[in-house]
Amino acid sequence: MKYDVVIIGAGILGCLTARQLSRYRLSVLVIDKEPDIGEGATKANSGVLYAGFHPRGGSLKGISCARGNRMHQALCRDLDVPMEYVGSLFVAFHEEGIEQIEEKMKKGRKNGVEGMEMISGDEARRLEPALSEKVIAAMYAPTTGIISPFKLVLHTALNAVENGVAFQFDTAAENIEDCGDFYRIHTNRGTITADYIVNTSGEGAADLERFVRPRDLIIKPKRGEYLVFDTPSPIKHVIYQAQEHDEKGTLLAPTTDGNMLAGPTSYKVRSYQCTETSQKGHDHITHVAKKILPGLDLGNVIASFAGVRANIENVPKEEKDFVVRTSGRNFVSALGIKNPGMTASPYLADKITGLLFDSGLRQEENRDFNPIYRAKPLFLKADRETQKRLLAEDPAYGNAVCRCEGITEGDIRSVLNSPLPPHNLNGLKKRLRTGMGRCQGGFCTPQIIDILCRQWNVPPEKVCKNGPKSSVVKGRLR
Amino acid sequence: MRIVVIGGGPAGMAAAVSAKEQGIPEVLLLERHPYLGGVLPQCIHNGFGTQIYQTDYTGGEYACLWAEKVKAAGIDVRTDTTVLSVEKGWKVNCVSADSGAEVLKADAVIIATGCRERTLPQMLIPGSRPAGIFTAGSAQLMMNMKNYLPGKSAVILGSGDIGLIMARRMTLEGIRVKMILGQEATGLARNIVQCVKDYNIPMRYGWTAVSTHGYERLKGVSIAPFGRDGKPDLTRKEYIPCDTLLVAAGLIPELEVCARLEPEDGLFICGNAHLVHDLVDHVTNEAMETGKRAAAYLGTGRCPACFPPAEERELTGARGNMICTICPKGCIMQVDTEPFSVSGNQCEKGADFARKEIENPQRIVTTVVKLEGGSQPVISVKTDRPVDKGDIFKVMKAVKKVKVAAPVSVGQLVAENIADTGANLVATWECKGTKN
Repeated sequence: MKYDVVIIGAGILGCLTARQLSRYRLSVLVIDKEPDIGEGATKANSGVLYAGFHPRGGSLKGISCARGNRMHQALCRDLDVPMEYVGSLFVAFHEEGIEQIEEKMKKGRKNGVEGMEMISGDEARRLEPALSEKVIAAMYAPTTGIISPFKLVLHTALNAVENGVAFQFDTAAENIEDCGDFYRIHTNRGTITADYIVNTSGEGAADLERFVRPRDLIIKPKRGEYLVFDTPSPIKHVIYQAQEHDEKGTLLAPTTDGNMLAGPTSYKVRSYQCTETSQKGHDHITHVAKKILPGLDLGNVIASFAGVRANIENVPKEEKDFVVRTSGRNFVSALGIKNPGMTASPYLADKITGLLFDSGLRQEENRDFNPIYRAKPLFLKADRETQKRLLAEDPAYGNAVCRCEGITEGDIRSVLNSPLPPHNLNGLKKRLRTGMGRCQGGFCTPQIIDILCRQWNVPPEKVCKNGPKSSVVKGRLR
Repeated sequence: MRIVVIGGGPAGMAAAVSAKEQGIPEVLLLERHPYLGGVLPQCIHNGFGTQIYQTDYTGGEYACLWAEKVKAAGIDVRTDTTVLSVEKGWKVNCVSADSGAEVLKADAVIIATGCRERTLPQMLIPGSRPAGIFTAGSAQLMMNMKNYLPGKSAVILGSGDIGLIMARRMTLEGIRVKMILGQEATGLARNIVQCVKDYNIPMRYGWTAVSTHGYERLKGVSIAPFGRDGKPDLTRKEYIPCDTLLVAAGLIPELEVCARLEPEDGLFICGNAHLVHDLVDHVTNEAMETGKRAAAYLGTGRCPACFPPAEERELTGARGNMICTICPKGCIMQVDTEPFSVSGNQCEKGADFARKEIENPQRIVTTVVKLEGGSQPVISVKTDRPVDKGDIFKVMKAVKKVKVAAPVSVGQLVAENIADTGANLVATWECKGTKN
């Protein structure tokens, strides 16, 4: 079949674009080279809804960030995504820091950020008692928020599926052929035809665009590393600091699950696969984190991770921006979408669909469109009545598997039988947080392998962590 | 009057039995696994109970011994029941497939929830996060209870007892243990001899892992020695290719269920949840004492939330290279061969033991065999007498062909005269048959 629109790249931007398009009577397919949604920068970032005082004033990055920040309120309500405007403190340790902050406020005002105010060090410490005595002033911004990146992309995609969007994974676009009035997308899994193409493939976006226009942007991977601290989070606000020397944009942020993140760093790496953390990164993050919160216990670190961003290299820093453009006939691309990409994504998705309609994509309203998605409650978080009903449905709801996060076998079976099911341990983790708690899967992984072997009817070596070569175990002993 | 004991491992079982013996009418023991024993059944090696019972049990045997005591004492046991939290006024929130989520009331609560393992990220060791990185206990459960082969070649980070025992266990199953890395000799002397030296496993004290490599399955580990500043000296970094990294870097008391509670009258903590012990014998003793105190609290109405004094650590390998197993004293001896000399033994038997150990060393072999028609795929077994050290791999080869049908009871003969060694294989754990 020929699709009206094929979206290449199932990150948050691709999924939100798909959901936007499902408001119209269009056939839409989302493809991704990975086995799951949100496997790129979407799954490994700060989980912060930036207010919009970081990017250059009046840039697409700035406007889309500030506007996207506000759009998330309704979006998260519709899609049942945990989100909270916790506010942020941008703290200064020295006089030049106050100047830096004032620059940020100027940018913020240009981008339309509301409610920013300078407060004293003592006022900042009243808001965050663990904050360093050395903080002399801070900017408070009420619209900075936190969000669950996993739930955002998952619920967006599931809502898109409910509204008719199709997804196909493990499918890499290798060549795009313009056939005059339609496109042929040649993939490792056959050819897909489409009238319109949306290129939200993050790391691969510049390479894909080459099929319809000469390359002008050079996009290279840049890694950001993070440390995850155990619950409960020692802070309530997102905390940035005015850099005294090159300290990157390392921040501290509470998460919607009650942890605290510290990071990111910013290092050039050779490929998008390079998601390892480094000693240098650990040292840097712990240095900045201890500077902001001197009493922080590093013994509470339970995990580390890294995300790799698509960074435009051949544009000077002061001119650098998100690029969302019509690359060729009926072909729209988003390039260089790094942070604050997740915050900006609802605005950028609207921009992409706007460009498609400008190119002539038909706008016939889908009357059946349902903007609301409601996640099935987890057994242990459900009310008594729901628990009774679920237990009658499947007694495995009473079998606790992941103690750290309160997940039962019934929850796992339910997710495996839902649309867009996970295909490996990381996919399950993304959906249920299994293995994300303080035991990091030590207790639950053997049990989860058992459950997956039974549900999928496969031998244990076929249960993978992420890619096809990532068998968790190598087979049986006897 | 009711005491709820959370956790059916050695501590929970002993605390429950002891409270019941003290006249508490109702003692309810909650366990999340389908069986009592906690971590013991996955500890298929011997060395349990030498201090209390003067007998060298395996973990499974020790668990079965106590499960019998629990049964005989008339304690209510609920397995397959996970406790989620404990609230003041003593309400225990738990969940099970039979009853769903429910709240159980108690007059006193004993927490015996054991410990969890320190993970690689907790040690702030950077690198990639591929498949193939396990905590040692997790790998032990996979191998000994779930029949999973965790990998083919391994590095073990941590030279405590769990690391050493897993080094031997993996070696016996044909996994190449390339190196054990440890800060110092922290394992029991017995384990250093019987797990590491017996199999010539390379061990480096003062070295640690500094990075992990590979994006899907682990490809290797970078290691380095600690420098004078206490940080790894990266100029001396070495790379070891392997597909498995076992992290045996310490245990942390697991107090999740009462994390939000202050110590208070009527709440008792015992076993590894209170303090990580080296020997199960110490856990049993401490928990028996806790059971008594809980009963006294309900009997007299006044006893502070008790935290019994810490046990002395067992002598570790740093103190010697051989442990005499003739009697439960377990003297740690320094034995040298050229010329032959023994020190640290408290009687003459020690020297004889050392001489025999050198001339014709023998070992009990503990492993698993295929179980058919049971609720688990394998069951743990041991040789009923020590076999010559040189015969161990012959036994392991023969064991792979042995199958046993459920139900199996502890002590049951599984195979006679295994590999012509004269020793029989006997079960060290029990398993009922499945209904179908």
